[in-house]
Formats: sequence, C-alpha cells, structure tokens
Amino acid sequence: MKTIRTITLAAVSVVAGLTVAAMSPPVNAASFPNGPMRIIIPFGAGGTSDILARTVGDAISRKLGVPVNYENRRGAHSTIALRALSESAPDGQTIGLIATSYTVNACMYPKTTHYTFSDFTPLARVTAVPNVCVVRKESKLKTFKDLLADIKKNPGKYNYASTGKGTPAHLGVELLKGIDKLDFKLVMYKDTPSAFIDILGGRVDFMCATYPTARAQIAGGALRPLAVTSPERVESLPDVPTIAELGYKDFEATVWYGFLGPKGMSPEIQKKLQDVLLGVLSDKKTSEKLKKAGYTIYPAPAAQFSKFIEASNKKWCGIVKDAGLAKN
Amino acid sequence: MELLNHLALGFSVAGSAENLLYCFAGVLLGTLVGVLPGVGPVATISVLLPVTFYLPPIGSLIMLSGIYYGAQYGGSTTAILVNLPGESSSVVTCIDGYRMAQKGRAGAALGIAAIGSFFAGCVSILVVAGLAQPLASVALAFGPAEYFSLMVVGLLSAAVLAYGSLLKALAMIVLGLLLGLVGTDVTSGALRFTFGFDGLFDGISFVVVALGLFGLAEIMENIEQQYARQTVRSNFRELLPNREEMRASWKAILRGTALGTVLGILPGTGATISSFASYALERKLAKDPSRFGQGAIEGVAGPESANNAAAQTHFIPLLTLGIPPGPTLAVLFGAMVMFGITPGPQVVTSHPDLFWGMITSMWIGNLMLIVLNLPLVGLWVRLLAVPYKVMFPGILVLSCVGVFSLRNSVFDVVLTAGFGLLGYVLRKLRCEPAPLMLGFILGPLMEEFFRRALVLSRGSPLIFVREPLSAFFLLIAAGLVLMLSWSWFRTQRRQVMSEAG
Repeated sequence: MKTIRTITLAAVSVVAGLTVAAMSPPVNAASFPNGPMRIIIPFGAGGTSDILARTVGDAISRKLGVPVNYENRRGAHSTIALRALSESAPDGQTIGLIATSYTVNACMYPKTTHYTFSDFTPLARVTAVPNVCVVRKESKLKTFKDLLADIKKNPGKYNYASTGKGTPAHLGVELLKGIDKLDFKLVMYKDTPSAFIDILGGRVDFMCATYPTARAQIAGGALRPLAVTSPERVESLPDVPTIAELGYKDFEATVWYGFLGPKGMSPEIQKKLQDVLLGVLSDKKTSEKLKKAGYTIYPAPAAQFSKFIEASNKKWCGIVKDAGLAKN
Repeated sequence: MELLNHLALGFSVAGSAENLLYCFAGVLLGTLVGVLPGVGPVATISVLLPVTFYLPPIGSLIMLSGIYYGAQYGGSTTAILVNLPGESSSVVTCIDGYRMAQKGRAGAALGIAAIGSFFAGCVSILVVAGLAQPLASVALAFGPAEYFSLMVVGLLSAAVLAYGSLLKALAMIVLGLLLGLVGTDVTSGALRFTFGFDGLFDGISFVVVALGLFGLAEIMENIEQQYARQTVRSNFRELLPNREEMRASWKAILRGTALGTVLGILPGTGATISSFASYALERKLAKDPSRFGQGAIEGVAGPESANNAAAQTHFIPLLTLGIPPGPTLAVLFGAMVMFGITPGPQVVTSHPDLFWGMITSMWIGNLMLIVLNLPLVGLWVRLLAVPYKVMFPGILVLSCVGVFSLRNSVFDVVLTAGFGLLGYVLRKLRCEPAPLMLGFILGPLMEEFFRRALVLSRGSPLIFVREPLSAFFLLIAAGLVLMLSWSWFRTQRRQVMSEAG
C-alpha cells in the first residue's frame, strides 16, 4: 500500500517538478492551483498532527478540485520538513504544516537551526491543542491551588513529568516556576504514554499533557484535571479553570498549528491560500472532525499569524533564556 | 460464567459476515506488509486511516488490529527466507531460521513459526479476555528502576546469544550501545554524535540498522561466495515440520508463550525483550547448545511464539489503561479517538461490544492467519528457487523503498547502505550482529530509565535495590553473571589442563 503510494508520489513529484521547471517564472494567482498540491508534514504518519494535516488537506482538495499529496518528513524538531519546504517553489503548490516548535527552535537549538522566519511565507494559523494539568485519582490534591500551595510547603519534593524539551508542556511549567519561584523537579519523557505510566503508577506527581492524549484517562476517571493552559476553558471540560483565571494573568501554553509556504510567494497566491485555509475551518464537517480529534479551532489570517509567530518567539525564547535551557 | 457471556457477545460481533471480511482483509494486508522488508504496519495503518472513517468503527478497528498482528506473522517470513528482519522482534528469528532455510528446511521454519504463533496467540488472547483488568496494574507497577533492572537481565542474555568468543560478543554489545546513543538525549535535550546531520537528530532507526547488518551484508557475502541454494523439495509434507522437529519445538513454544504473555503486558519493549529472552532460555535449556546458530528449530519456535504472545497482550495496556504500548498501537489509539471511543479504564463498560468483539476477532484472525500461512509456506519456499541473481536486486529495491517510506528520507537509504558495509566487515571478523542489535535496542532505553530513576530518587542509586521487583531482577542478573563466569572459567581450565596434559 505504502510502497505503491510512495512510488506514485515520487513519480508525481518528479513529473510535477519537471512541469514547474519547464514553465517556471510566470507564476500568478490565475495559474494556481496548477495540478496536484503537496503538504509537507513535520510529524510521522498516523499521529494527531498528521490527522490534522490530512483532514485540512482533504477539505482543500475538495475546495480547489485538485488532488493533495502528503509527505511526512518527521524529525529534528521539524527542521527536516522546514528545509524541504524552503527549497520548494513558491508557486502555492507546496505548503507545510508547522507547530509551536517553529518559533522555539532558533533559541533552543541555535547551532542546528538553519532557518529564519523570513525563509517562509505565513499563510494562516488553524488550530490549537490545550494542555491539561492532571494528577492521578488517588492524589489528595483537588484543585490547582492546592497543588501550588503544597509545592510551596514542600520545596524540591514534587515531580513533574515533562514530555520533550522546548515543548509548551515543558516551557509552560518553566514559566510557572519562574513567576512563582516554585521548586519542583522536572522528569523528562520522550512521549506522553510513557509519562502516564509513572503518573498513574504514582511515581510522578503531576503533568500538563495535551488534551487529546489525556482525554481517555480523564473521561475514565483515572486522571483528575486541575487546570487547563489555554486562554479559555475547554468546551468539554467546563468545570476546569484556566491557569490565567487562577491569578496568573495572561498565562497561556498551548500547542498551535498553522501553515506556511516558501518565501517569495506572490501576495495573490498567499491570499488565496489563506482564504482557502480559513474557509476550510469554517466548514462544519471539517471543524467537527477536528474537534473530535481534540483540536480547538484557532484561526488567524496571514498578517495576524505573522505577528503571532513573532510574539510566540519572543515569549518562549525569553523563558528559554531565563531558565538557561538552550542546547547545541 | 460472566466471561462466557462476554465471549458470546464478542463472537456475535466478530462473527458477523461483515466483520469476518474486515478481519480477513486486515490479516491478509498485515501478512503482506510484514513480508515486505521495511514497510511496517505503522505506515500501512496510517495510510488506511482516512479510508476507515467511512467504515463502521468496530469493523475498521478489527481490520486495523488484524494488520498489526498479521504483520507479526509476515515479519518472520523474510527473516527466515532472506535474513531480513522486518521488526525488532524478528531479529532473533534470523539467527536460526535463516540457517534452517539454507539447509533446505525453510518450510519447517516457516511452519513452526506459524504454528507457534497460533498457539501463543490463542493462549495470550485468553489471558487478555480473562485477566486484562487485574494485569493492567502490573504494567503500572513497573517504574524506571524496574525497567532498568529488567533490561540489565535482557542485556546479559545477549552474552548467551554469542557464539564463540565472549569478548567479541561484548564488543558487539558495546558497539550497539554506542550506536544507540546517537540522537537527542531525552533528559537534557543535548544532541549526541549527530555530526551536523539533521537525519541523525532523532537517532538511527531500527529498520536502517537491521536491514543493513542482516539483509544487505548477507547479500554481499552471498554474491562473493557464488551462493548456491539447496534445491526445493516439492513434496508438501516435507515442507512442514516433521515429527522430530515438532517434538523438539513444543516445549519451546510453551515457554515462549509464557514469556511473551507476561512481558507483553509491559508497554514499550515487551515483544522484543521476550523474543531475545526466549531464545536465550532455549539455548540455555538445550541438551546440545552448539546446535543453536546452526539451524535449531527451538530457536525459531520459542521466540516466534513469544513475540506473537506479546503482540496480543500489548492490547492490555491499550484497552484497559488507554496507554498505547508501541508505535503501531499508538496509531490504533489515534483511530479509536477519531471514532469517539476513548480507550481506557471505562471502555469495557461503555463499549462492551467493541472490547469483546475486538478480542474475539483476534482469535478468529489468528485462525485465519494459520489457514492462510500454512499453504503460503509452499509458495514462499518455491520463491527460493528463483535464481539468486534475479532475487537479490529485488530484495535490494524492496529494502530501499521500505527504508525510504519510513520518513521519505534519502539519508536513511544511504545510511542503510553504510550499515550493510559495516555488517559485511563484521562478518569477515566473525562478529555476530544479534548482540549488537540487542545493545542498540536496549542501550538508549536503559540509559533513559536509569537516569529517570536517579532523578526520581534525587540521585540515590539505592532506588534499584529498594524497589522489590527491581532488586529481584538484579539478583537474577547477578546469577547470570556468576553462571557465565563459571562456565568461562571452566573452559579456560579445561584448555589449560588439556594443554598441560
């Protein structure tokens, strides 16, 4: 299955490449879309981020009447996918999905991040995933305030399960630590499932996990949600307060997703893609599907998205710097 | 009695004509992707995922899980026929399975793999059905200290995997550990041994190393030796394990099943460790351990049963805790979420038809697999009659496509070629690749768990002996070391004596 798909994909992209080369410069909005589109996904096939790209891609395909091919270029904090994207033609045929890490890489991994924001054309922000801070059901802590108070009473005693370096789950809690001079230990995990084993087993006290991954345990009562890290409460967790509500003004640590094109894209094509992406999100069927997968619809047009990227970069890189987290 | 009611419910769901069809489609597809080197169930399930949203949820989950355990059956086929392990759990199958094929007993090896897998599947499904809930707590009892100590035992069993020089085996384990270090360190986020290649940031993929060291190295050596295969026997009965081979295997199958069932409950590494452990156990218990590595059928029967048993009990953490124990089941988890079913503690009560339907479908699927695979044995064996000069380019192309499909990376293909070369050199030096693989798989995990345990204990190494389970494993490990050094000492003394005499 995959083999055939990969071969077809390779063949299609070769043909597409030749076509582009043969009739290059006069690129204008009128000639877009011109044949199959390509979406570069910086995550492995099958994960929730992949589902996001394919759901949006499906809707784009229906809207524009062209087939959409997907290319999973996972790894190296999205930099492999971003390089492939920056090397593609800015004719609108190739776009790429990005997430929060896009804005954190430059300060977290300064030596190995070889792109700048000016290498890309922002198109639109599409969705976000809130983090939910949880403890196991046996925990005596009932509210987030209890948790913070207990941490203050027992400095150095608490363990926090953090999934990945430089992720909102990690940096968000560093932010909290910084604001309140909290003293607890970060235990690092590669992925959420392995962190859950230690949370449920009672070896680690709390964690802020992305809502889709924690939903099963919350619904089943194994994990108790104490707070969410999004600016607003989560629709399906109406009783769980945001951290901002608890006195941490403007606190926000969500994973967001958006689409970029390579730099040099004409404003007409940029606008057309922006409108298509935003249009797709307002389509009821697509947005229902995304919500079901745990996403919050979080749209922003290109200009606003561009400012948002700058702001996100400033915020997270400030924390990276303050906490001295930068790596080679 | 309650269990019987549940199973009846399950059969009524899984036994419907429609679901039988989905189940068959799943196991057939699984067998196919298992056979194709490098193309794994993760990729297949992800590609199929969008299609399944148009199917009924139970039907598609039955199909997707069919792909998952079907691939376990298929994976051993290439390991036995052409020395290509498609999954980490079939590395062990290569050792004796491929030797059997070279001796003209490919059919027997394939047959015993299918029979062992079927038996193991049946037993472990019963365990999943009857004991899923209580066993889930076992998975949670394993913290970083327990995992680390268990893996110490696993790594020591690599020394048992070695033939000939113990020193060379140790060198291979260390090389494997070092290769496993490449990539981003989980605890600190630092990059190690990446030499500026972003293709190495996330470490080297298992498939890349395995295809290179086993498959490509084998091809190079075969070409060099003007390789001639045994002629194929056409008699179907001779294709299957004979009575003597069955007698040699059944105990191995039982032990492999037990090991796999237990270790499969642990998320993450269960299937791989159980197949290595089963091999080491069989070799230790054998009356004549020297047959191992030369085509001992127990060396295929035990590990194959173990990894299939583990593949089934992997469903316990997925269905009862909502924790996917590996990449393939993580995709399945994603599918369940998209269907609005949240796997976890409540799934048994909220979706009993799904829970019991899936479990019984696994049994039906295993039955289908053995019916499908035993006749296929003849076909596979006939495939060996294809002249090697025609076959090896085919294997090469399929391997390249498989590696490329992992993440659309040419870098990985080049890297595989590099490991092929390394594998060839190691063969010339008479170094076994299996201990290297075990070091490569376990090394990074051991480091991760070791450091995590120390973070949790705030730096005190006592955590490894204070936790009773962990202390128990370390005790076993110490026993293994004593046993190994004793037998080493004895052979040394014998040598000295014989030289003196």
